Amino acid sequence: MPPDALDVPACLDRVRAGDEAAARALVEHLHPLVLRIARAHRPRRVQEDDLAQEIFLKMFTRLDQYRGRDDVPFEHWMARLSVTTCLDALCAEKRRPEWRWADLGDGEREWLEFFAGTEPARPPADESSAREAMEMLLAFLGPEDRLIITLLDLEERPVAEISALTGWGGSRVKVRAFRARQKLRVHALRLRKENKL
Amino acid sequence: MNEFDLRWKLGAEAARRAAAALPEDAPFGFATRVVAHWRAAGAPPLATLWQQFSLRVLGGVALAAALVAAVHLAFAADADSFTPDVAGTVSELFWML
Repeated sequence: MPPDALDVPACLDRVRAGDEAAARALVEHLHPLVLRIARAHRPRRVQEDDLAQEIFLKMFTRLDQYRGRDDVPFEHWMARLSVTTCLDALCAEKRRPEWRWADLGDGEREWLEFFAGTEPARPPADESSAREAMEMLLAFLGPEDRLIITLLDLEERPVAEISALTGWGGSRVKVRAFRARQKLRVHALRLRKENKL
Repeated sequence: MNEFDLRWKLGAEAARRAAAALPEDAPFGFATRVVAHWRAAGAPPLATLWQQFSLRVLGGVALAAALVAAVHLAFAADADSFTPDVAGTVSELFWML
């Protein structure tokens, strides 16, 4: 059965009855959704597959909490569970990594120079390094700030959807995002200054 | 939008394009591994059960003790005749020890 054709409510009933084949089908169906969220919000020292596995195990243990009421699709419930699990993982990170200019690769340095620059410039061509450079800057933020910037800027999710995923109000999301970008700018300038010393 | 925000937005667009090229299918055996972990961890460990039930029992016992104390105090206020009996029982227990 192709993953997109999965009848989720029927599959959930079978999983609740202990059907392992249905459980595997559910994991394969939801894997792209969970992996996208885990990849975007994982602490840098945690492998994305490990975090995805933790999310799925939590899904199985909390399956009885999802009743399918109010026409909330299971995928929405799962997305919220994934985001809160990632936030817990970020909060559990004992010490956030302190990046220095010397730790960065050439592509990441180009992007950080670009972020901290003020003169007219074109963005660097190496797009795969953009994500790395942004994650390095995001690592300087607290878990909530990091989550909001990732959802809002990197994933381009609307504020209303972020509110639904996190349970935070729209104003709180906007204010936090504004302040978080200011902090990112300060860290980008500090890293650049460190390079010029 | 200030200069940093504009550049950050351009970086985010580039990062999104790069991320779209990454694979999202589950690696071979991933679903089997997850389901096996789930089945293995299905039954809660004995220590967890003990912790849950002992806390509930503790709460029940505390409630019962509070009720007994309240009833005792309510009746003890006007039941002076019980005092010698209680004192006698305590002294007997003391001498038995």
